[in-house]
Amino acid sequence: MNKKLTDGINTTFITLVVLSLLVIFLSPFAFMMVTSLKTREQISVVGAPIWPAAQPKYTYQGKEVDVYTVPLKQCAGFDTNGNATKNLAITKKGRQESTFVDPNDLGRGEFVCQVSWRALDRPWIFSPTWQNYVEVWNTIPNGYWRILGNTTFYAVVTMIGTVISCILVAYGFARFRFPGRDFLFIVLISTIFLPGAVTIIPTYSFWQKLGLVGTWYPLIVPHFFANAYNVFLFRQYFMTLPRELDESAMMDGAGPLKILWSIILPQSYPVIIAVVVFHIVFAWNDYFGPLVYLSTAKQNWPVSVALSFYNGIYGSQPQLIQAGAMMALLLPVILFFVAQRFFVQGIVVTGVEK
Amino acid sequence: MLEQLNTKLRKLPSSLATVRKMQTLSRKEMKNGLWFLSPWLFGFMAFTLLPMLATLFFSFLNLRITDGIFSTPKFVGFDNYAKLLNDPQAGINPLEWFSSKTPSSLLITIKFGLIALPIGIFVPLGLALLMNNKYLKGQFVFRSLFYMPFIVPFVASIFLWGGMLNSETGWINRVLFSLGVPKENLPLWANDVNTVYPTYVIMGIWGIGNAMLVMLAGLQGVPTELYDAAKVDGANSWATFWNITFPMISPVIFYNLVLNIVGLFQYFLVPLVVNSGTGSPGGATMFYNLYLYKTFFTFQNMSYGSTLAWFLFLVILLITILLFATAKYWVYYAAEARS
Amino acid sequence: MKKLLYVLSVLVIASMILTACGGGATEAPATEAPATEAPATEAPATEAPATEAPAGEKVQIRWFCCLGTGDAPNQQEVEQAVVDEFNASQDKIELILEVVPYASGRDTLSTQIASGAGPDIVGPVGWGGSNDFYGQWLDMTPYIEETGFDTSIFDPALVKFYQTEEGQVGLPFAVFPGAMYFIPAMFDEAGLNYPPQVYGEKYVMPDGTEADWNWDTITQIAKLLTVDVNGKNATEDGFDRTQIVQVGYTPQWQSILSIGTFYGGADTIYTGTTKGSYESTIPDSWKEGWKWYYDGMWGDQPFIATGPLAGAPEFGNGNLFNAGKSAMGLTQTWYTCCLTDFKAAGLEFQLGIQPLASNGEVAGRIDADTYRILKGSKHPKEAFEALSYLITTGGDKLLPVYGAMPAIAEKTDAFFAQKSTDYPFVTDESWNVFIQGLAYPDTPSSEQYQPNSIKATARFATFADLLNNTEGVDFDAEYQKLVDDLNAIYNE
Repeated sequence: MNKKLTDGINTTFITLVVLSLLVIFLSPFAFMMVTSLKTREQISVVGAPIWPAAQPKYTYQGKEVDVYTVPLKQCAGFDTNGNATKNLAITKKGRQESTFVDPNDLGRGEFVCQVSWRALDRPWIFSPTWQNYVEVWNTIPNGYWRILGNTTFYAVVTMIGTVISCILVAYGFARFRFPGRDFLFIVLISTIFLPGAVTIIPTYSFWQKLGLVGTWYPLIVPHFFANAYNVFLFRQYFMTLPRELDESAMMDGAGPLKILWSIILPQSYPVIIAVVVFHIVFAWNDYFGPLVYLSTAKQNWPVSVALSFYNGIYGSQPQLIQAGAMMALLLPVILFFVAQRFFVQGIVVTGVEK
Repeated sequence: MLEQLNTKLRKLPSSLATVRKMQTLSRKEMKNGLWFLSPWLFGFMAFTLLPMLATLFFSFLNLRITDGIFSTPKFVGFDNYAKLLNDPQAGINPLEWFSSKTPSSLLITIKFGLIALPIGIFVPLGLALLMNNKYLKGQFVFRSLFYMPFIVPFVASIFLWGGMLNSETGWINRVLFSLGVPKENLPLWANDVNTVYPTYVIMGIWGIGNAMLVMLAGLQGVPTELYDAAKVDGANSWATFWNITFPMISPVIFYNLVLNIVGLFQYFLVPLVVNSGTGSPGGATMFYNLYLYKTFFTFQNMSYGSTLAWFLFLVILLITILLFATAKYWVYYAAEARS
Repeated sequence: MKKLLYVLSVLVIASMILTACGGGATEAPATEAPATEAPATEAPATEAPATEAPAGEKVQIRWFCCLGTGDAPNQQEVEQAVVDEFNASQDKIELILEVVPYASGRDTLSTQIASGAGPDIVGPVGWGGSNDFYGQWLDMTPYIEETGFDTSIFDPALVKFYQTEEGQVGLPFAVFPGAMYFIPAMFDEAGLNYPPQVYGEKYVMPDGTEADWNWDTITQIAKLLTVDVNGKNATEDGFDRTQIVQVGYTPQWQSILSIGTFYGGADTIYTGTTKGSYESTIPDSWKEGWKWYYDGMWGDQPFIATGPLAGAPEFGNGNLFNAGKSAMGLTQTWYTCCLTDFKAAGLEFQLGIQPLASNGEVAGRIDADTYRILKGSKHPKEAFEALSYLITTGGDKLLPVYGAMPAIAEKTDAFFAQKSTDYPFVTDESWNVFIQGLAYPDTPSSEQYQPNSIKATARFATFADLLNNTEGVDFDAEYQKLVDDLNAIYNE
């Protein structure tokens, strides 16, 4: 009985701690969500509440005027000792005093209140602008649908390329002995340390000469030639697979490709899924590659680049950027949610086996 | 002695035919091996080696961006490297670090690393330990939620954090103020020399979900027999952590460290966007890679930029070799210990 | 066990991939470096990549935008329309538009030139933008003769304006005189008179006295127009400088050099003719102006938004006047491009005259933009033909959307007609301020060429950044540092 109690307390405690950490950690998300529901004007108002709030307006004599909460005792023609406040529409703004009119009592006409209108409370009304999402969907160049398509295309094609090429190369490193193998492996690893700046200009010129800047080729082709991280991953994993199965298959006359296909790969699904998921997340948010090579081809932009469209020098639209970002998050998050079960469990299972 | 010799002899190939078979096999193996390696080899040549060599070549010229890389080369020998040695902004001479008027970019990068690296290792580790706690309910959900901010597009997150950390109207300062911090003491975040590195670190913390996940997988892979054995021996949680958990996950930590260091030396995007690449406040954000970027593209000096890039590469390589060399003192490879 | 270890390291490396290359604001290495914000472009109608040359006889001419204005979405639409019209009007040349946002324009252009693939036409670009590529511009004189282009449609002084040691590097296209934009509603609310709208007129202060429209006057009014959340202005006790909701004045999108020019009058900022002899000669009046500017932000009675405030989303991320947060903004005609949010919020602006400098003369500024051709263009003659279309016929559509006054005198009326449709609330008297402004150029321009131009400009930008963002700066010391650094930079 006692154990159950302490267990219960421990569970609640730990869960609460993690939950509060999570809330703090994700609070910018809340801010993001909230910003995506405001209009540009709402963002501009200093002192506005954090939730999407609009100040009510009233149409008086053909003009739209703002409504404030005014303490009536400051106003002409009211009880100077009362504490009542009313929502009044401002018709003339002034420093020391302003003229108001009561939307519910137009008969009274306009009257003056000795208030500083900026210091007045405003009767905010909750006013989320879901229209922002529609606007992003429609105004982003070539349509959001297309942008999502570009991003998916980029992610999937590069994923295929990298998985195929990295598996092949890793297989070569893991299962074959030849002089210089270890040296080449070290060279492979050292490419991780390469600052991008060292290769960018010559590489860009290379693609420029081929006339392929503005197309997907400069971004996709390199992935078909393997990259150090994935190769390292696969190689390490392959090296943990026992060679006996390989050897018996070799005795049976199987060539190296067949061995790869029917022996190695079926045992490797956790690492393959891991690479697939990680790569897709990487490609989904890849910013610089597409920026450099696709800057002149608006129809090919992926999401990460397209969002910058709303960050023009002459008028940034934070609410549209956040709305676009929220929409861009959807797919990778779903993918991750679904896949994490598989590969983390896979890793744990294989770990525990040992 | 004779027996040992006998055993050894017996192991040798007994006939020439076997030897030849082995040779053919190994040649075939070599051919196959290289064949499988070919995609990488080719890509490496085309996209890495050649450009790197080209950049090295540029560093011996006097090349401006507007000349174009196909113009007739003007050799200046090691001039650019001499310039690098004396360049106060690049600041590669440690003797000058504390006497120079201009803060050294290299030093800035190192200083930032001193703050950012521990946080980049220990915060995910701590979080992973929490996630791994057996009393936690709903680990599955928490994992995904902590990972989520990592997926946010860069443009959006810069805007987000820029807005929140704005020293005048940002929400973080507003919350601090409502918690009672007096107005004069509200941190100026990205505009104050003293708080700009923590500001960048805070912006970076949002991306730790990824490192946390990996550490978590590492933690979950530690065999439970070890913990059981420790409990039997009566070890408390601290001892368990130091003697079992930490060594078992030290390879994970090690690689994370290496990667963070590589990332640190390539850090430039955040200062470029947040502080407009001017190095403000007070020159404290002119990271080495930012200076490199500016040399290349803003000042259009391709040859000096190439020099800076190669120096950076060598520094990173050196540090990584050092790390790998010292790894054996603290990174515990279970496999090697057993064999 | 071994497998576990490897698996672990596998996962770590996987995390390396993501930490290294992924999105999120981690300490991620940038695998490709150049641009910051995403460039935007109109692809040619055939959707072919912009740099592939189709088989055929048409000569492709690439028009690169923007080293100046021209990247706003509404401007891009018009630019593409003009391109389409040009292409439809003849079949020798195919003009292709490439738009890259201003912020990354220079870097992208540098990359293109470096890899031998520079565009043909660049523009619209003013002196500042073109100084960064000094020495790269084509002398158009032979092509003017060859195509028989008639330069008499321009004021000869303006044609001369573009003759440098490099030759005739441009032809007049767009002029942008300056004015003091202001929001009448804010003046009404504060009980102040509007700024004068005719050069020579004086301003009537609240107490009835008349004063010259100079910086002292503006300072006084601006303080009254700077209001905090409680409605107190900057001159009142209890003014809360941390909760400013509106500032009196903003130098909207002005460089530190133009702030100096507006305050102290135009002047050359260096002397010398050869490397080793250059010396920085910033006038004292500019130094005063910068001090005034700094006090305006960080002094006891601020009336200019500090850097962090100006950059906040509430204040329009730097575009304060557009966000309706500044009662006055001194800038040029091109600013009319960028007031869409302002108009959408139902606000109204009018135009007042540029102020008198400390020497009693009007310190005005005129920006001038045009299109230029890069020396490396493979088809300079065709490029010039396309360019001449842009600056004549194309200008009819382009100038209004750039907020530019035409350099061709007879087109001026059409320009104002277009502007009136965009901003119907602006009175004729206001538009007239621009026309009057043509008489007050800054010669030499605040964007004048300096030796080692890019580095010098960057050094000024660092100085400006320091002033904007740092409280408690030792102004004299920093100013001296600036001068010393410039002397070193000029002679590098």
